[in-house]
Amino acid sequence: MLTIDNVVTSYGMIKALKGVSLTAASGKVTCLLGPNGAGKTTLMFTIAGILKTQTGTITLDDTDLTRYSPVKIVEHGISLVPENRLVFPMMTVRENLETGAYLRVGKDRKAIADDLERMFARFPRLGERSDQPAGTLSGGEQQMLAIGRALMARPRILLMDEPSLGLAPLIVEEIFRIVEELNQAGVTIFLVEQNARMALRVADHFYLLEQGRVTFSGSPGALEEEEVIQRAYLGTRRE
Amino acid sequence: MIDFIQNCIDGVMIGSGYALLAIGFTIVFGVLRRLNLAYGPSIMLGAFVGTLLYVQFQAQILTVAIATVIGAVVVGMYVERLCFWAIRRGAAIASMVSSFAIWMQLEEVAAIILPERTYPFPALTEMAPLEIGPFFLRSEPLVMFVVAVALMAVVHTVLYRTRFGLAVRAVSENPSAARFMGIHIDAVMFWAFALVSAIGGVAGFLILATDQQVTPYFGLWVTFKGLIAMMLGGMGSLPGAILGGLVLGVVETQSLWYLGADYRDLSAYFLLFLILIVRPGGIMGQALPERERAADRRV
Repeated sequence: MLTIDNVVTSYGMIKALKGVSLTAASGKVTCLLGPNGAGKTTLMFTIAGILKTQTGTITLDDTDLTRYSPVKIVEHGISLVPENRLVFPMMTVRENLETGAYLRVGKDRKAIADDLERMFARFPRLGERSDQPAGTLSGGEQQMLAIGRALMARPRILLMDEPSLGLAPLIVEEIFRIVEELNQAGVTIFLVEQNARMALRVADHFYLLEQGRVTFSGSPGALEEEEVIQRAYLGTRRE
Repeated sequence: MIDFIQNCIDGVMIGSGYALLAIGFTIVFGVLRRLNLAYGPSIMLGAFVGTLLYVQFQAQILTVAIATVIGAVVVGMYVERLCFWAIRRGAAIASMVSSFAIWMQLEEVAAIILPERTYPFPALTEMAPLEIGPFFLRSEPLVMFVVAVALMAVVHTVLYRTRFGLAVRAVSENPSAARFMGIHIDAVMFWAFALVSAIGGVAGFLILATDQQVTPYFGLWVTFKGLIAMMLGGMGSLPGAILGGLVLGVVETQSLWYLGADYRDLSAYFLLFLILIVRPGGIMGQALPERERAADRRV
């Protein structure tokens, strides 16, 4: 279980997260919804150790990760599928997947080869294109590659930052189907999304993040879908 | 026709030295997205350490070679700590300007070590030129060519067959994504710098052993040749660096033969000018952006 407790993160003078607390339960899909600028990506970067919290703690199971470097955080089983996919365009699909297992490369040859086979079995289109540069893949395929790359680290929890961004509706459906399948296979997922309708379909639990604060926590049925969508895109209207 | 072919042979051999220098610039540019202007002078200072041993203690050629490479690596790491590691990301101009300042500093240090302008550098071999049909292969350039090709194979193996190489390529393609994979970016930059300085040390040694003399201006010379070869081939591209080096070598040799010594450098600059107009990214430099744009369109 990933526990975030009273996390405050700032860019210089500007507080982007003003004391965020939430949990992502093991084996579940937890979604964080919210409009642009609410601090969703900031929270992801803070969990990954790229940004440092000023107060508060981040713990995974029983390990306090708050002061860990990004490298150690990956080592402890947190893997991020970044916004906009960020695949390595000139490296082949296979090499991209290998970078995901970077911390094991050279030590664990057999296990990495097995994991690669598993990825190609789960994402057959990546298997067909394994020796192609990742830059030649379509957006949807690149998203699959980014997910596969993160899974190669054998994470205890998979963080996904807006996996539907910039993809055609049919592809978005496919990506969320993959999220469901991964979860059924036992992967813990913490998903940040703006596409509230799709996210609510796969979530076990969701949070609303508005202006750096968690403003709602509950299961998908707990709030009218229309209201969630309105607040996920636009935030709460101030009277 | 025989002259033309002979010039091509000579050009390719000289060009292999340029290619090594261009590889040094291109790897650092790829990983750091910044130019290291102190690259040439750090090689020069390494060579001065080698020369010092040769002049003062009559050191053997192998000792001179090792001293040159170690000297270049040590100075290279000094440059990395001072200009690139200490000045954080997002300050590319500051890094480049400070590497220029270090250039001046290194030239002063060279002048303190060996105050005269020109010093002898030991020759590589005393062998007579190899004769193949109507063509001559001079022994020093031949050794340079063979070592350069071997070194390129080593660099290729390191970059494409090792864990470190995977990290270097990941960082040069996308540093943020590399960080999410658990790659320690600062460490990768440091060791890439060390690798590149060692390559530069070998290249510098080979070139100087061919010339059999060294001056403090060798740093400037290295910077010019390396930068031109890299820009011809395409910045950040490894095959581009090799191709750029060879093209530069051949063009220089041909124009030296047909147009005279005055036109040697002029034709190199003219070629660069032409390439930058026709293919602004260099000969191999444009492949990627086109492909990326095509991928964006497909979704």
